[in-house]
Amino acid sequence: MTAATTGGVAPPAGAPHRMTRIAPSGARVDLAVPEVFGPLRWYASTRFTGPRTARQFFLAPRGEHRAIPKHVLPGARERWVALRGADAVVFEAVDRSDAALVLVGPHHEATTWFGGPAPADGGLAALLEAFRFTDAPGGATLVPASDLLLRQAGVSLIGRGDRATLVARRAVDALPMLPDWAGLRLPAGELWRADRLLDAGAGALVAGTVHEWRYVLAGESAAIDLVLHGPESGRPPLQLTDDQVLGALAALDARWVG
Amino acid sequence: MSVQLAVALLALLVALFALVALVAVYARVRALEAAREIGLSGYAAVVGRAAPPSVRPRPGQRIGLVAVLDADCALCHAVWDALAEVTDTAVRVVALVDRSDAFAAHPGAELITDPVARAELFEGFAPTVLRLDAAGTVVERSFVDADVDLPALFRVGSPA
Repeated sequence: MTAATTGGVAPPAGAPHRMTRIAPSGARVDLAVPEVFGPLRWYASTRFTGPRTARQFFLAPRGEHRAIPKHVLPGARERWVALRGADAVVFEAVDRSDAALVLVGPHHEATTWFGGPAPADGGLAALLEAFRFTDAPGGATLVPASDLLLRQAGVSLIGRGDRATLVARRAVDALPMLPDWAGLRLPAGELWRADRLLDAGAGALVAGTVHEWRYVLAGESAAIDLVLHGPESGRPPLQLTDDQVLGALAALDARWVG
Repeated sequence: MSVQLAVALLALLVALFALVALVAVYARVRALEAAREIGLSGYAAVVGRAAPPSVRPRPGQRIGLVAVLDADCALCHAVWDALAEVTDTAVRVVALVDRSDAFAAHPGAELITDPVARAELFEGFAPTVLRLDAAGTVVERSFVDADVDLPALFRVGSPA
């Protein structure tokens, strides 16, 4: 595991880019993302619930926490604790109205927000002891140290780029959100399109284009939610017809292993 | 002494023993809680611990810079070259590597192939740079990526 990792061999022109990411639960996710959706940066999210804990973590490429003292909590107090293979950084607002804990590994980081003052040393130690954070170039895993105390839920893998945002989840987690009626059969699963939550102004900008919809593709092991960014996000519209989008979606695939 | 009195005294003794044992267990649990370090579940942190003797600063030196490097990573070679430019004699410059023949030789900087020391200091990522104090305790650890300013990382301040 070194810094000199490459993204693998470039796919032939027009072929989807195949990659393997690690979900926060440690599951391997094999993805095929068509080139038309552009390069993606990978994020993730997960929740933990237990008798005395309810916490959500957001995982991101390393370095994004620098925005916290600069933009989110300007002038925040910063405290670094070196751990094995990662650093724990606690940011606390000057007026103690909010605080965040970031686990910073060599490749990725995991952030959780407290919505109040930062915990004292004992609380922080108890919180950190409850989790196991392992970072790798393909994704960081954040799991409970003991399954008896904490239950991990809401694991999602998020790919963000200029042209699209993609959210992949385990099919069983996404099942309650899927429509009752059958979708269009594609090689990787069934496809539905759903309304996007846009205000009237943004809705008017994207009416009649491929940006008007959210695309939901559910396969055997994973479900993907895809949004194409366009004028509603201040970006130029993608010059794609419905058929071209359908063609690209037919090449989109995600397989959740484990 | 009647039998009833003897039984009552015995019961009192047992109760007293149970109380003392309970207090002792409580005190021990509190002591364990107070002594615990902040850390993720898993392995102990490298920072704050003494480095293996083979990489500690020698007598008279006040700082140690230890780079944990991997022969197969391109950035590790750049870190090694930048590290070798530290010419301060008060600083011991060491690179812990997996294969010393894969790295260019630099005078003044040592390449050490010590699997035990490397395993002790390796945190799952290379290149990693550790800063040691004169006693050999790790005071700082940096994971180096392509964005890190290497000369700034290796800049050693004047003694206070």
